[in-house]
Amino acid sequence: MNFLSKFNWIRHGLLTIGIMIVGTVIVAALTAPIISPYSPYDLDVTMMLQAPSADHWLGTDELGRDVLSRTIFASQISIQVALVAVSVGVIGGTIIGVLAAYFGGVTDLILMRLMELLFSFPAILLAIVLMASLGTSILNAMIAIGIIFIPGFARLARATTVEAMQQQYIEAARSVGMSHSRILIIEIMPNVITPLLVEAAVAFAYAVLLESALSFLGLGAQPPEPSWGNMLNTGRGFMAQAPWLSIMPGMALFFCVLGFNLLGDGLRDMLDPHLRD
Amino acid sequence: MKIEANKRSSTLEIENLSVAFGQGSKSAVVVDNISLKIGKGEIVGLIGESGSGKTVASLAVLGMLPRGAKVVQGSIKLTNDPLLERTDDYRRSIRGDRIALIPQDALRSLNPTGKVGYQVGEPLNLHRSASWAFARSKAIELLRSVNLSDPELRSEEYPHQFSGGMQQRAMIAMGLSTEPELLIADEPTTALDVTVQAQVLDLLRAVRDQHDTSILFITHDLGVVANLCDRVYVMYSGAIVEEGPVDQIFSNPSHPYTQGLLDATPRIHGAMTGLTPIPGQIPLPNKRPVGCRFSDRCLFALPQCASTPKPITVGDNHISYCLRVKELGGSS
Repeated sequence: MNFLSKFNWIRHGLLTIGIMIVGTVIVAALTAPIISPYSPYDLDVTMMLQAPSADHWLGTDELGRDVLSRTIFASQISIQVALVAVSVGVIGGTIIGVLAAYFGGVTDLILMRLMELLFSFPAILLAIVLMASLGTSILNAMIAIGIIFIPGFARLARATTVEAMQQQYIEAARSVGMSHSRILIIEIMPNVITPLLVEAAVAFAYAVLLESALSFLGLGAQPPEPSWGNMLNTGRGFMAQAPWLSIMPGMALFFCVLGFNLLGDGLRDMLDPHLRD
Repeated sequence: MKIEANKRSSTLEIENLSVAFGQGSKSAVVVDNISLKIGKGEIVGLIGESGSGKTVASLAVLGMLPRGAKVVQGSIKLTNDPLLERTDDYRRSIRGDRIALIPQDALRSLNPTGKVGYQVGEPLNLHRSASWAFARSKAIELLRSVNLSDPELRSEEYPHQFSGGMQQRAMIAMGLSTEPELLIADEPTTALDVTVQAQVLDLLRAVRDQHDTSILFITHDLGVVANLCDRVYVMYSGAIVEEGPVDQIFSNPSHPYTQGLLDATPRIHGAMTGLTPIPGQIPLPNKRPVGCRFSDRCLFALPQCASTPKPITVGDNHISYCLRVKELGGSS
């Protein structure tokens, strides 16, 4: 708590805004069943494509479902997918990158060429190919997005590890008799973790976007499961009659991605040890 | 008294040590057949130009030779413990415990992401299985003992918040944490200004006086050696060319290389004749002249210098490897 009271919220303004937006999204996802006024699945054919009103603050969709409730519930999918995908990317990428840097030579060559192979595909295309071979489900979407992230994290982890290993304090650590694993964990990891954390926050934004893109294409969350992506896809057909169908999930997506990006940038400024006071 | 000093048990005993880089015909012998002894509580200077092999020799003692370098002959004993016969794991376990290194550049040797207190206490946690809390409290004590003001506060700071002298003192505190038998100081004062340098030297002397620690002080700065060391080894191109007590080395330098080094050092009370540089450069390990390796730069070289130099006793414990030392009579 000492940390919180010392933290300069004004100086890290963007970070503060990022935390607020991300916090809102996470709270919405966690409390979705409590805060949403209706069930996201309940149909009401008498209330199809209703404009926003006191009963339905953000209107209803083509099957009479409450758009606000669906948007709130969709945040669950987004956060879930992003969390799993980024974890897969960070863990897989860090292990591959650190091992490549630490052992060097042939290991490095093979691992990094493999990563470059993955990197050379456009993300969406790779996701579609992976989904096509894994089958369309939300779990497979998480894995596919995670795999897309691995090369980026691996390269970052490798670069920072290589840089850290050339530092004289690694030599100094050897001179006080530390073992390889202790050097990796105590001396190298703290130097590697900061850029990875920042990258993870940015990747989170990208994962949310990718999940929506996959769902938009019908490869991610399957109806009636609400997702910002498939809501946008549905809304596309009713742009003229019921623009609220697209606007709400679009805005949610926009702010969520913005929030994670601000969080990433803010973290980078804050975690740089040379800027600590 | 000198004999008594010699009889004391030696902390470090290096005998006929050679270290080579590479293999076969391409190998370069960087440290060539050196022998060196450090008694308990003794401060020994190892002087030489850049590239003379002094750092490689110290790395061989630590068991941290870079990839491609290996010991080809000789023995290294730490208080009668034959280090070269031990496993890598064993040697790692005594680094930072029984032998500590004080590196040249303290800032770059401290991890920028770690608080100083934790780094100073780290060897205790590592080698003595001390808890982090104990290591930290001990670190504060150590930081106080190296005259750092406000050690409680300072131990919570990061290395970049320290000045150069404070960083170097923190490194010394870290080196002392396990009360090692041998402290290897590799040019610890090179990066510091003169007043801070004097403080660090005082500190090292105090360490020796309080803990009876043996110190191997590696440097190219003769002023520092005169100030601090008990005995001196002069190294040139991988070999020791002269050894002796510090006062004798300075009052009666008995190798043309040592004389050259002294002539190339500015002095306040010297005649204003300018400095005399040693002509030429230190030879590459595979291009050394036959016999005395200083002969191609030596003003006194004779054809006989092409034979392998032998130790010639000049005074009490004072040995020169120059064949002409008697006739040149230490005049410089």
